[in-house]
Amino acid sequence: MAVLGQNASSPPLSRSGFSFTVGIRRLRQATATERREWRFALVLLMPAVLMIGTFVAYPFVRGIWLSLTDTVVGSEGDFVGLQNFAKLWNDSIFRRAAQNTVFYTAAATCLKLTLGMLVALMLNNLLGFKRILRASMLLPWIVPTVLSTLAWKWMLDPTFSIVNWLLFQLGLIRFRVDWLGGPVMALWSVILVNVWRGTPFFAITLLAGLQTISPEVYEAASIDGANAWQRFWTVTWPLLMPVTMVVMLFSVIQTFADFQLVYILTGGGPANSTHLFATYAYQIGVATGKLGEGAAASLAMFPVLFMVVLFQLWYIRRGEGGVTKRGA
Amino acid sequence: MAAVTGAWWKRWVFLYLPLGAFVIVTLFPFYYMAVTSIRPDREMYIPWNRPNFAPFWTLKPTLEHFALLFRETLFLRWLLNTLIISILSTGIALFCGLLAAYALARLRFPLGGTLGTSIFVTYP
Repeated sequence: MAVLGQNASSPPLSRSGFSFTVGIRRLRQATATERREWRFALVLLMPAVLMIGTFVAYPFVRGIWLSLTDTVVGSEGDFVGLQNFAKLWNDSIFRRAAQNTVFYTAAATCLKLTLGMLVALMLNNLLGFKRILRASMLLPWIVPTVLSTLAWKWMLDPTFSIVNWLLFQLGLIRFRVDWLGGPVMALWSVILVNVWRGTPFFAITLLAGLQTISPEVYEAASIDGANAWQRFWTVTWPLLMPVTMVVMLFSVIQTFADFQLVYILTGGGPANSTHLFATYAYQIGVATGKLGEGAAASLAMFPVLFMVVLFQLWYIRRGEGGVTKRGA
Repeated sequence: MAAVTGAWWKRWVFLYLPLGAFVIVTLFPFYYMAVTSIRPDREMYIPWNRPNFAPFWTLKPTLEHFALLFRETLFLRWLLNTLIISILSTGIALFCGLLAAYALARLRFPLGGTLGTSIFVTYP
């Protein structure tokens, strides 16, 4: 997806302004050996840079250009300025999609973090079966989303739903729940499937983080009289923060730009009530053929994703600083 | 490791049961897919609120859906396509990635850090 690969062309943050001038100065004073090393580096980097340029940077730039034109499939469009964006701004479905995306990302990420943390803590306390549990839990995450979502679609089918049957047998519902039929229920169903798919990833990654925390810290806390909750809140949570942060960021980026899950499960329906940015952009740009407007809709994701990436870089840099300060 | 200590029932209530429930929810869709794939059509389209709705098993397993897949569609061809695409794309990515990673990690050259950051940023 072009929009996700945005920033190859934009100037990277930090360090760059400094190293750019230094780089220019050093270019002039370089020795022959240095020059040879640079040439070697250039050759090694060429394939990757070409690939990224062709498949990330070019589509991104092209996307920006498209969003400023009224191109439709089969005809080269004219430059129309920000007209596409203005049109989207007044488009009630687009507004709904924007709200949905924010809600979907927030709800799904919070639920995944809570559940994933609980499961990771439980797994960390488990003595046996750890490996087999870990392996089996990864399944939803490994299996292509399209396949597992199809299974969910069948499980949430209005007529043949096994979920309804189960809830009915357990006495939790009296009547049929139309999981994908109403706007609110459909959005929650999509969130549910997203949580189902994403929780194992959170659990596994957080578990890996938990296992790096030395038991002695807990012993010390216990001796100081900390109860289980205090041990979690004052020891586990802060020490796990770097891992949590990375997992959260990846999850936010992926959830925010999610396409497959919604496309398969509801197709944006009923009545365009569950569209996300990506599915609505697809509907305008590809299904309807209004490439210009579609590009504008998908570019609307860019500012948010860009901010997430900025935050990510800032956090990683900060982390590096912290490590060196704390190190040794 | 802060183990859950104390009475045996505590381990059950706080560990085994919730973990068991979680694993069941996690894996159930796969089991359901598997059962559905060998369920005869006639049985598949029974609404959930009929008394003879038997979701967890099937008494007359059938391979007709698999037969259909292999006989009536180009499934093998699609499988081959998937294989080709995954092998080639992994290979190309590995090749480009290895070379670039070596250059970024081991060689010193102007704008190296900047380039590394911008490649990293394109990932998501």
